[in-house]
Amino acid sequence: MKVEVQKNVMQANNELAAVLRDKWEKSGTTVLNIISSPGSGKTTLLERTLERLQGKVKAGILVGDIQTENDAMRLSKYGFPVKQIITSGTCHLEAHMIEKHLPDVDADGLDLLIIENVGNLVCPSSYDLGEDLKVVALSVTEGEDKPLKYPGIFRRAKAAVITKVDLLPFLDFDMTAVREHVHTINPDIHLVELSSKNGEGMDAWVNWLLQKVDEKKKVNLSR
Amino acid sequence: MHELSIADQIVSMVELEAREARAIKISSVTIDVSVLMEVEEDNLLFCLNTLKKEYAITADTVFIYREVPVEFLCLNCGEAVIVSDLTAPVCQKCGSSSLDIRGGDSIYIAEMEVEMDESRSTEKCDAGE
Repeated sequence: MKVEVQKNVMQANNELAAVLRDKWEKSGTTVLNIISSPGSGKTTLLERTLERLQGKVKAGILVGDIQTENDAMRLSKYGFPVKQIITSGTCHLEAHMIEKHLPDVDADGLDLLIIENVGNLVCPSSYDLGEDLKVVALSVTEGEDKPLKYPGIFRRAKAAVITKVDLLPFLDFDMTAVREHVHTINPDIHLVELSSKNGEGMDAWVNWLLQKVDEKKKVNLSR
Repeated sequence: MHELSIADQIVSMVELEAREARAIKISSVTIDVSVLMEVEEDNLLFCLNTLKKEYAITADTVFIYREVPVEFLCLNCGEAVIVSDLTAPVCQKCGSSSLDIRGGDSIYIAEMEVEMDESRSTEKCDAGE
């Protein structure tokens, strides 16, 4: 006998993500889900970002890794609440992990919640965490064709950050090609080029972030 | 390696579905996988064929993998755009590449073939179970 099922396998995760999204809609919290391969410089980018956010917004950080508290230790130096989520082998964060650890960083409502996902360009892109924006980071020491190889995340992301541009003089990385590839996959993506090391492009990135925080707060206030 | 958690989810979902339908065996399950999921077919099937042994009802299930396209909405002209190749998708009507994902971006259990318990198929009353 044939049984029509037509059920989304991601349903359980998506339902919980919807609950989180609703909660953040009410609190006017902007939520970022940062995704990249290991070693693209997510944590350093966040360190330099948090420095610039001090005194400007109430932010919290959840950081996912398969093992160690190292990233949380690095990120906790900037006066914002940080919680490490150790996934013990799971290659991505899921909505239930966010729900479980959120109270540790979100005691009384945040302007901005930054989620640093597990370093992986494939799996995290399919798990909705209730975020407003998926941000994909790609460093200039990787291949310029990565957007073509991993179209899923570049398609789903609202912003792409090209990191480590201070290294460009030492590399054969073709910046024009990467811009083209990113826009081939997703023409509407917001593209940022920066160096966490020398600060180039950091102000533009942080201003974009603050603008997103402002926009969500305004929508929230006008409701 | 998100195939393992996806496979785990699929096996528990079909097991529950079959129990609710009062089936005794699931012969086959058809799974529709969006190209956006970046799931590796052999890997997913390997995980499913390992995890299915957890339940008697799924122990002999054959899993059928089908790739499904992504549904976009053209932000320029409003046309629905169906795309299998994610490299440079464009609207077939106006040629715009400004597209927003509207569906076919996940993994779905489409249908399954089940065997019912013949001896119980005439039972009208569930009382006492």
